[in-house]
Amino acid sequence: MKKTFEIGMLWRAALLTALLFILPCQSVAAKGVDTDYSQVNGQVSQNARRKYTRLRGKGKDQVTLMVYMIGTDLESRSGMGTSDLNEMLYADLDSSRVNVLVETGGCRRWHNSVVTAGKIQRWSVSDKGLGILTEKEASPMTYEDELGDFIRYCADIAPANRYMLILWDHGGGSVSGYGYDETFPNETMDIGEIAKALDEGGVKFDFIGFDACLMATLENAIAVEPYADYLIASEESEPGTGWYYTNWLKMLNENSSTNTLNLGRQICDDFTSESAKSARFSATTLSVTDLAELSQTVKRQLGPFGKDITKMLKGKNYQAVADARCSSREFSPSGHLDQVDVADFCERLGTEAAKKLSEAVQSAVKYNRVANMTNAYGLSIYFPNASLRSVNSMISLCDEVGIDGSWGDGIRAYAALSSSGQLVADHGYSYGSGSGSLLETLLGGESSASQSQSSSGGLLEALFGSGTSQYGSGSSWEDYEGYYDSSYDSYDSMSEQDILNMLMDAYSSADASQNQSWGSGNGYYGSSSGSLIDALLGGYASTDGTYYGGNSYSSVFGDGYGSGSYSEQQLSDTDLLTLAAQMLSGREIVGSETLKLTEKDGQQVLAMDEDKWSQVTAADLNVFVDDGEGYLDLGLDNVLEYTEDGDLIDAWDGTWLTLNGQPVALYPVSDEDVDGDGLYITTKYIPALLNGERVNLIVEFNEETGEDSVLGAQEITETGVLGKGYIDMKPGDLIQPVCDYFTYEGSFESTYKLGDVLEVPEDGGLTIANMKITGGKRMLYTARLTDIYQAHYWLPMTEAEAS
Amino acid sequence: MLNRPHSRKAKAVEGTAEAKKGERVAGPKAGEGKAPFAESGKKEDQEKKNE
Repeated sequence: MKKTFEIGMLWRAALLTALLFILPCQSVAAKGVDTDYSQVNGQVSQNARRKYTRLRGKGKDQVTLMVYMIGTDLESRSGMGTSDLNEMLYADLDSSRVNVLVETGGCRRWHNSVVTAGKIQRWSVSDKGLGILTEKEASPMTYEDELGDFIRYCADIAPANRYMLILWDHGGGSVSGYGYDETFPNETMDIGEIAKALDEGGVKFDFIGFDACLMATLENAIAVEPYADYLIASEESEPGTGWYYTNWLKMLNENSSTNTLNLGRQICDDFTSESAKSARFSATTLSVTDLAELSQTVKRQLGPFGKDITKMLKGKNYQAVADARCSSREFSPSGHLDQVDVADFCERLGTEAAKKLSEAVQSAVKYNRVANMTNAYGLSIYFPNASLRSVNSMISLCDEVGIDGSWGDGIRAYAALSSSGQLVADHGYSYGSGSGSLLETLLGGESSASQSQSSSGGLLEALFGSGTSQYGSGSSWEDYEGYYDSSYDSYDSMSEQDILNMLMDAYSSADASQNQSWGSGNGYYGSSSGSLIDALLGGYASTDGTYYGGNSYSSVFGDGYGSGSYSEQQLSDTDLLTLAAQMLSGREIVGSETLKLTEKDGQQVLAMDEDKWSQVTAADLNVFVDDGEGYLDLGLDNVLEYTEDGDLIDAWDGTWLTLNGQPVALYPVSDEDVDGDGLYITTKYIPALLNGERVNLIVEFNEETGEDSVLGAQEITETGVLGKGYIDMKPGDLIQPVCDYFTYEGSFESTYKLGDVLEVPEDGGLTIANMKITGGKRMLYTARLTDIYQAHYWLPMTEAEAS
Repeated sequence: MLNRPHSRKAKAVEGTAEAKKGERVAGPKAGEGKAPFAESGKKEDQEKKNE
């Protein structure tokens, strides 16, 4: 049979040589590489295992395609499931060669007269239409038993030599897994459970596809490899329209022996072109990965790569790892999934093991289509950044799917150092004469020292909290000032042993606090310490005692919580903390000494040496409105300017972002100079209600085109599984901006509506511009710096001149 | 050229917009939620505190 695909390896190697390596986060970003490949890579590594599926050829293959469709709000709101079922029907399938079997459910309402809500139904799809096969009462479709049962059923009634499986729904990558069943919410199918379902199904697949967001991860690929030859999935979120089914099913129907890579190419090409029609601003990715090759090449390189990272960290080269991580292509950054492109991360790190892993990944990815994005090579991987929340669960997952433990060790070491850097940075910065910290709230301004500290999300409490009998409700700062040697007036004074003691205390305080708070049954609010640990775990408490989000302390301390003992594999492991203390001791971090403003040429500026500036990854203006009872947080905008000498100017012109004349809060998502020309594309999110539902409006400030636009709205779900793509807003939609509100003591109180509701106009356009902000008793502004440990430093707050 | 974090140039238009608090909204925090609340005031006040 004539070969219908071409070799693309040399072309890809040429691209690799154009990449720049290991650039600091704050410098001009690496030249963005267009990874949209127009040719299938037909070469297969000689190390690849044999494929499970062997095609008979000449149209003699018997195909069974299984589609597991959890309709959820994609269907109930937008009819996306119905739309895709219609696409399948338009292929006019001849079931003598191609059987398409679909399971539907997980949805409150179907936009067609055939599928029934409240039931799990199984269908055949053919040129005769949708034919019901079985029906039962609804149960969670996110349970692996249900998926396993569906697979077995399909193989029983439609035996074939070529099986395919598509999992259809929302997706949340390696951290959040697949699937959201709106009739049984708060559950997803994690990667380990997907593998169990496949095992129960007892079938080897030609390909497994995820018509869902974010599932082209290395962890997922390794987990499903025992059950399939190819993975077709997306690194980034998918638009709600998802895959386009008609063309590739027609292709398969005409020739059931169509080569899998050609089929995959058709799927990727159609997805990319159809997405461009319906969601023109969205970045889209879809790749085809050869799992037979990946299992023998990529998987073996992860251990050495992990060892390289640990070695670099032990060699006190944290900054190089942090810089590579910060500047790597990250997917759905607003979702905080910490999912980065493997090859891009590896290229930026640049070690021998990293390069080998990058080559192996790029070889295993046989086809990759990308739009509106660079440096996306087909597979992503979890690597933590600021948060600890998923570290242990991800290391457990890696262990479960058989990834070399050295990779998990590398993740753990990096996470421990990053979080320790935050703890130390906060301690050193806030103690003594430090300004701009939460401490200052307690000592100055309207919240005077005489007010009792509420034991809320204060970072200080993580370090000076429980363990001291003086701490508790109603105590003031002075009560426990003596807990540490007060001769420390700055971080610089602390020895390596001091730092180690501080870290040990911070983690042990959190552990003790956890013991207390489990008994309370009210989350962690009121816990007198571990608040930074809470923050690092992704959780926080509001003043009404409600605890939101986050993982349990077991993600830091393991399952032995309550025992007060450390497992040797935990982040709080003494060796890791000792390493952190060694790394941090004597290091001039951004907050080594109090960040002070000085006056130059009539301006208040922050001057620092270049070593400190090299550690600063972001500088944002932070504005608050004091309404007489507390503070409205308008968020963060990177609009601060610098003098010619490179000093940061601490000033605010009194304007803030508005949407159709309504002020909004906004927060950073990403800031990229994709092609190295000094022009950035900055993305931020605006929290809001869209027709009453909580969303984040994604806005883009594009220096390349000069245009600022609202790309769409991103749904927020309970489980962290992200809605497919952006919701396009329609004329008449109602947008209500919201913002966070803090007490004078600095505790988060609640989220409130901000300003008035606005209606999307007839032309659909939303005007984004800065306007002078009024309101409240007064306005306060500060500059917030972020460093390579993701620690934050605030300059002294300034009251804005009244307009 | 000194390496500094990128700053975007905000586009300002005429007019004012009032930041006012409305009804409470249930659910998780909207933003990053760290509140620095240093004391307000001028540099001189800060120096007095440091003494």
